[in-house]
Amino acid sequence: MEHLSITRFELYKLFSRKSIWILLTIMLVGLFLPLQLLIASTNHPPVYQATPPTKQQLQQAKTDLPIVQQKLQNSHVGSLVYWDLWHEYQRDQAIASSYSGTAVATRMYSLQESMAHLKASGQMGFAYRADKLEYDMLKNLPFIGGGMYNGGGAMMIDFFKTYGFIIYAAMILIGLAPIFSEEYASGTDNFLLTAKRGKRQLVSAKVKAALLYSVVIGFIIEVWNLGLNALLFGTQGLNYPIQSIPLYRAPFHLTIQQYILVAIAIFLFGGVSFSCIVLLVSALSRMTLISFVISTGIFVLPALISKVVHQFWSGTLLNFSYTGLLQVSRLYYHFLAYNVLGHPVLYPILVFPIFIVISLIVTRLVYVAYGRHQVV
Amino acid sequence: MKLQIEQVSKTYKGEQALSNFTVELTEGVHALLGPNGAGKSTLLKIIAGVLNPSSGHVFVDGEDTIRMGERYRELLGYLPQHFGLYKNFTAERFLLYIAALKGLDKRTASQKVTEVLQEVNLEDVRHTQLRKFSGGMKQRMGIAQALLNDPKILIVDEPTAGLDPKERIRFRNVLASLAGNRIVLFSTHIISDVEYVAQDILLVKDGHLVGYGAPESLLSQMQGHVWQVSCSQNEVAKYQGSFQIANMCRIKDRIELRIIAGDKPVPHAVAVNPTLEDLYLFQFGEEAVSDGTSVNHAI
Repeated sequence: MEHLSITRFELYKLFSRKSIWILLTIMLVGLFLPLQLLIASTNHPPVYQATPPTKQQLQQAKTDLPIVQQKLQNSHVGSLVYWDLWHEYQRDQAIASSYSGTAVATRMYSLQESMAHLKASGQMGFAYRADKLEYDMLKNLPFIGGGMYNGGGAMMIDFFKTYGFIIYAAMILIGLAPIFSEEYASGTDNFLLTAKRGKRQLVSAKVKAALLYSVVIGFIIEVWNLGLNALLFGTQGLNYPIQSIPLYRAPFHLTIQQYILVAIAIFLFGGVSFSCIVLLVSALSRMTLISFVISTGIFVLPALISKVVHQFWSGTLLNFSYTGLLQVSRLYYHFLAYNVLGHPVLYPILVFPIFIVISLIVTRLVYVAYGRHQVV
Repeated sequence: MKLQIEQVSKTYKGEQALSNFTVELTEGVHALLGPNGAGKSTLLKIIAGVLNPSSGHVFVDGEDTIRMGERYRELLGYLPQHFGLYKNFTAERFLLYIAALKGLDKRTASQKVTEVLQEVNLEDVRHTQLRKFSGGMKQRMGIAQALLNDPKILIVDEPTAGLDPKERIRFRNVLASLAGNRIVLFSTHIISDVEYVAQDILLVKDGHLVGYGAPESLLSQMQGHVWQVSCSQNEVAKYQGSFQIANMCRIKDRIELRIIAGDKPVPHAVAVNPTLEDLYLFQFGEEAVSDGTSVNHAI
């Protein structure tokens, strides 16, 4: 005897709302597309030196640099000649800075000194272990050239921390804030609460539908991000290290391509986690507006606090917030490890079990909240 | 089957909405009659399980309905007084959704949806979106969803409020046809609803059960309390100041007053058979709402 699937109807309720598609279209096509087109039309990307320069290349670059700089100063800004010279200048600078040693080497030296000092004073606990972990990670990095990569891959990564997290959060809020509260406000909860499968099974169906919704919307956003940026800025440079984009101090051995895949996974994970808390707020709110405002507050507040309060705790708050998670690059900016029973656990690794536990607890509370709901 | 309501009370922010309400109901149509704010909806919500009582219990054949959980909801059909519908759902999709919630399998759901749509005369608009439905059609959708699982206990809250006379008559006919082997409990403040369909009446006032029985039985208790008096236009004000006037009607140059009083109000008053309107006024101190289609239910 096959039951009708409640989840299917819940999915229909979510995806049949025109407001969802209108908002998504406005954000992706109405806002993001024109901005990217503008960037693409005026794009004079810097150059990244992907391979170690030869001695001859280095010599040539050092010789050419002051000459090209002089020519640049004498040329008309914005002219074709100007941009050709600018590109040449970028290339020579990238070569020159590839040889002069990177910030990585400086950092490694500093860590060696720190470890030696800690070892000498018998302090072999968390601080020593953290330094050693960072040193080992930096030692494992590939060649990091000079200059900067700003091609399609860089644009795709940039999307997460500029527009991506806002678009995704907005879609989750618009779609899921009313999932329970609208039932309460409209009076349909009368039908739900008196039906045989209208309690526990209904909540399960709503949870499944909400998580599927967040994954599908996240996927659509990412397909748009990757497709559009690949089209506008090309796909060259996807095998460059992530240190070639503004993740210069990241100690992780990842290519741009690998990072994009990891970022998408974290992005979707963040979306699913955020959806869980939005569900709980909705289950507790009798009005959709209240549900929306509170959930928006949960999303926005850590970022606001960290902008106003410049303390360690406010940074940590943002690190372990839904905003921080959805922005993704926060996890990889630089080496950051937290003390877990004396052992350093990397921030990008620690964030997962924490959010998994929070999401499980929050989801359980959704069942409790709805189960206690009464029609007054 | 017995639906037992035992000592059910409900307090909202210090206000007593229901007080020690106790009654036992079996198969048939039972009407909760009382003015607005009497506690009818509160009682029905508690029986339906969408509201918890402050104290007391509801039992089905001796088993607490809260403990029964899903098994109780399987027996239940509920039409609330105020409800919403999903505007972008068609009638069919909405009923299939409710059928899914009620645990019907695919084949049964499909059959039942067609059946209930026919029963409430909405079959020809099954593919129409609910946003296009009139008030009466929405009300019929409400009763349709309540019938999907062929409930043994059907609770209907003010089903005819806001409907035009034609819709109201249609609704009463549907309710009357539903009695069969189920307990139907509906609330109303419209006398004519009761007259047509209820086999017994629960009179609710200020959260208390003030009377319970078949209409004939309740009316027989009023025998000797309803009088007809003929007077002039000038005397009407005097009678209004001294007695409860159930009805007034002009016959030529005289006014025929229908008075509710324990004793004969004036020597020339004539005792008449009480009606449900008289009962309502006597119990609740206000005039009953009627749609003018009432049947003379007097003894």
